[in-house]
Amino acid sequence: MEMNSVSLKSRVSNVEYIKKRGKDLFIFSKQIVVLDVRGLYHMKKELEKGVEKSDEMLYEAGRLSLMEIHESLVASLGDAAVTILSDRESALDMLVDALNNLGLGEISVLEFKPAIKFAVKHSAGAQDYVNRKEMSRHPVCYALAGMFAGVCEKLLQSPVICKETRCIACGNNACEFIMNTKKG
Amino acid sequence: MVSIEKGLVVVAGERSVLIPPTFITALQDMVMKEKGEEWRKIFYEAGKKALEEIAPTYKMLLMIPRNSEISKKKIIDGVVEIWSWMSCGRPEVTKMDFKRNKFTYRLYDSVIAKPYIGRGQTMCDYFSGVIAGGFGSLLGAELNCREIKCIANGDEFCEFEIEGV
Repeated sequence: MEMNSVSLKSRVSNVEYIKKRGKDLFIFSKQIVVLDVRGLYHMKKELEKGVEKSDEMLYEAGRLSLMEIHESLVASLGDAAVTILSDRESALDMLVDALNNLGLGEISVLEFKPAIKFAVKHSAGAQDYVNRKEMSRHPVCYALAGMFAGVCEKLLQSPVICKETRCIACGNNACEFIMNTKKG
Repeated sequence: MVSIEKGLVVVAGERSVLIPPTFITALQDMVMKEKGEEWRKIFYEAGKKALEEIAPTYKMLLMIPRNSEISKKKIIDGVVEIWSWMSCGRPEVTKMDFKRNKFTYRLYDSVIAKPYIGRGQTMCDYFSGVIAGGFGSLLGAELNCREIKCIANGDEFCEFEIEGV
């Protein structure tokens, strides 16, 4: 189990997850772009103004984008991917290590069983609410929830739903997310 | 320009996230499906508002002296240099007319437009908003930005026309 973890770590560029080619940035060979947190906030706000189910759209966009990162990781591992990712708990730890380079906030895994739970300090999806002293009655990190769902779905090879249960935009100290298996 | 610590990414003095462009294009696609052409305004406004708020950080970063023709050119050069670090494509300003506040901005290999190559439309409305908000706030003028060429429309690069409202 430990070996898997070590080999995954060494296979993904000695834990330098973000690579530069010229001025472009990549993670596991997948190009990533810089989106300022204010852009994320305003995108959410503009969508809320006139788009139905904008929260679901943010979730889905997050899910698809992180599934792509996972696919790039698998491609970069090559034939070893199956073995390395078979220890799902260690693989998740490593993936979280990688995700902590994306500026989404300080992510940690609170629980793996019976359900995967994540905690995020200073969530990029909600920090602007805090900065603006804008209290929300419900959690706001839909994009992050979708991102976690994308990662877990690929890792567990089964559809999941991620729900944010605590959020700094609601006055909690950190954001928390729980993953449930999608039924039906 | 880019600083990455655990959980926190700061680019040009602003907290940022690093995400695949799919996040923006998938979102665009979903909004387009529901709202038709209105998607353009939504993304334009989001980009514009974000950059209007970020402009003071850029001003500090660029250490811009008080208004003058030279400093306006410095502003534009400075902001283009900052945007070249956004991993969104290679930006360049090809025309600057400060008297009439008219500019032409080019973006090579726009990451937003790339997935839409062959679509026959301009697709970088988020960037249009970013440019209008960024240039406008830094130059102290209300500007409008329109994408006139796009790689999604078969052009060699994406090109934006910026002018005073």
